[in-house]
Amino acid sequence: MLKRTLIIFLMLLIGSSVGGGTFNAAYEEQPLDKCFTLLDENNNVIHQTGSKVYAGDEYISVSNGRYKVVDIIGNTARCKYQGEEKMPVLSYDKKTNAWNFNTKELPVVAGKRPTVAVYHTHSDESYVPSDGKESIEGNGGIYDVGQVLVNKLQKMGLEVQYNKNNHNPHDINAYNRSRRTAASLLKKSPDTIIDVHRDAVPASQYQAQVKGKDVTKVKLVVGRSNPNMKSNLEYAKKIKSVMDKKTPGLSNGIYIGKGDYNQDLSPRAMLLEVGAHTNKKEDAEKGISLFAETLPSVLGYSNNPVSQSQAAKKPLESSENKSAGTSILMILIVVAAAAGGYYLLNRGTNK
Amino acid sequence: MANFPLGLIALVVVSILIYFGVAHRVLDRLRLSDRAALALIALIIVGSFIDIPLSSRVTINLGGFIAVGLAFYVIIGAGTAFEKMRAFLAGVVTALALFLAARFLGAEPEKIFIDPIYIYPLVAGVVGYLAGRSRRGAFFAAVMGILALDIGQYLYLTRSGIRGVVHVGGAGAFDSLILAGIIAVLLAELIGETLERVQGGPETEDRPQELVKNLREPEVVQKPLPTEESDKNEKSSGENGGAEDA
Repeated sequence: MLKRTLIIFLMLLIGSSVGGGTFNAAYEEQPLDKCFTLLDENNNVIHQTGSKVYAGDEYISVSNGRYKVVDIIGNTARCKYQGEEKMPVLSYDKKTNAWNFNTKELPVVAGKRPTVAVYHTHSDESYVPSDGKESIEGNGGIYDVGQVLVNKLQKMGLEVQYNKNNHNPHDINAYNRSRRTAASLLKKSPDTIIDVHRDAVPASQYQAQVKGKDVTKVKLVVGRSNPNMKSNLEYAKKIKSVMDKKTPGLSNGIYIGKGDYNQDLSPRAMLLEVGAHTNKKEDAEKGISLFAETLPSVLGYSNNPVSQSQAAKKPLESSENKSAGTSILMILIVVAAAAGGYYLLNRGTNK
Repeated sequence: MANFPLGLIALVVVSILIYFGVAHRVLDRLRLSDRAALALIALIIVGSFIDIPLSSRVTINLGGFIAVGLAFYVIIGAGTAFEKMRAFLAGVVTALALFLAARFLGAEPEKIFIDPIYIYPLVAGVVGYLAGRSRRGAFFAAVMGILALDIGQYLYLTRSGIRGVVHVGGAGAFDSLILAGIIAVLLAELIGETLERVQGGPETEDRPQELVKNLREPEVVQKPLPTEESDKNEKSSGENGGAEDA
């Protein structure tokens, strides 16, 4: 009986794997008219996204207005304005020629080069005008965009760990596979880990002119289904603040959506959407290059020795610490509630 | 990470400690001794840092390998051939459910009601419980389900000929392989205990007297000083949860 079950198990397994037609079919984005549109109370379009939107998702707009999705009708998401989001304050230091946070925070020790880890969960993502198609199995145009980010960061003196693993097929298990890549990168103790993607919306959503160049904007995505959500959102706000000061017009806001996106693995994990499949890859490369220029300020790094020594004197006190404290408290409350619930459940009487 | 503010380091440390604390309790429920469970956790942590290349297409993480080994160990140690068969069946159903989910649920995690990382243990926990009211079955089903996905990716890579390596259990202690197993056991336990609570406690009719005695809540106030016999009783009562291992 056992032997027969084992044989059936293996046969079904192989059958379903081999028969899984999706494995060989190239991934296709949904038609552009199917992407989600976020509207405010006055029916103004706030944002468009290729990702599915749920009630409870939030969006911090380019101008820092915070919106919450309250209702979904078809592909339209109605949002309620929550007020202006309080963003970290920056000031320009003429001596060091750099933007610094006013909140006395310093993540990086003076002289120590920060490490940035980069990978791509969706290895096939490509840009139609430049790559010819939206999906190239295992070697999408997104790798060229990632390479530009890596080259630029290295040129600025940062340490980079770039993992080019292929996580295809592009299905719901892609994050399960890229989780392994993210975990292996985290063994090298990076200061931040970045998963580079592109969106699936009309080109106009991302097309922009920044510093006189045609570029695509960059959107930050924070998953709200993981315990690090608060810390990662604080981190995203820091990145956006620097982007807004250093390269105005580059940011396409922060989307806080349903999902984990491997962000439970680190409180400094970020998902980037660099343009959409409808944009030119060359514009996305220019966009990510400008984005790279913001990271040293975000991570408190400057290859200018004056700025380093000044920064080192600042005490460790930051919004990140506060958000981490809240997260720890929430985790402890959840664990205590679960343990208490389990204890009560076990106090049943015998029938 | 060494450059993180203190708060972030505390967050990482607390999360890891709680995760391993829960993992230890779960392994405890799989009829492993306290010490064996602790040793396994230590082995999985150390193993997380070691990747063993099996071929140009497959690499296995030692932590993941230990989890797969443990899944087979708990099933081999199962009481009856019938329980083993039910666990294998749970593995098959979980693997099929996950393949079907990959095929029909869309490609982006946000397109489904729950993140994929929690779908694996959810399916395995429910299937494992239904197949045998067994925690061990749930653990086995979860691990086999994830392993089946890896076999699926291997077949996809070799058939399509595109570059790529399958990293079995590659995220070590934080891999879905182990995460799914742990959550599936907790879920099977939760379902079992809840159903038992709803029916007003464990069934005692036609059960051996010794078992019924152990199912009762210990009377703390009148508890006599520990003797060799009471120690034995306590130990066996700890093993009787709602999710029974037949």
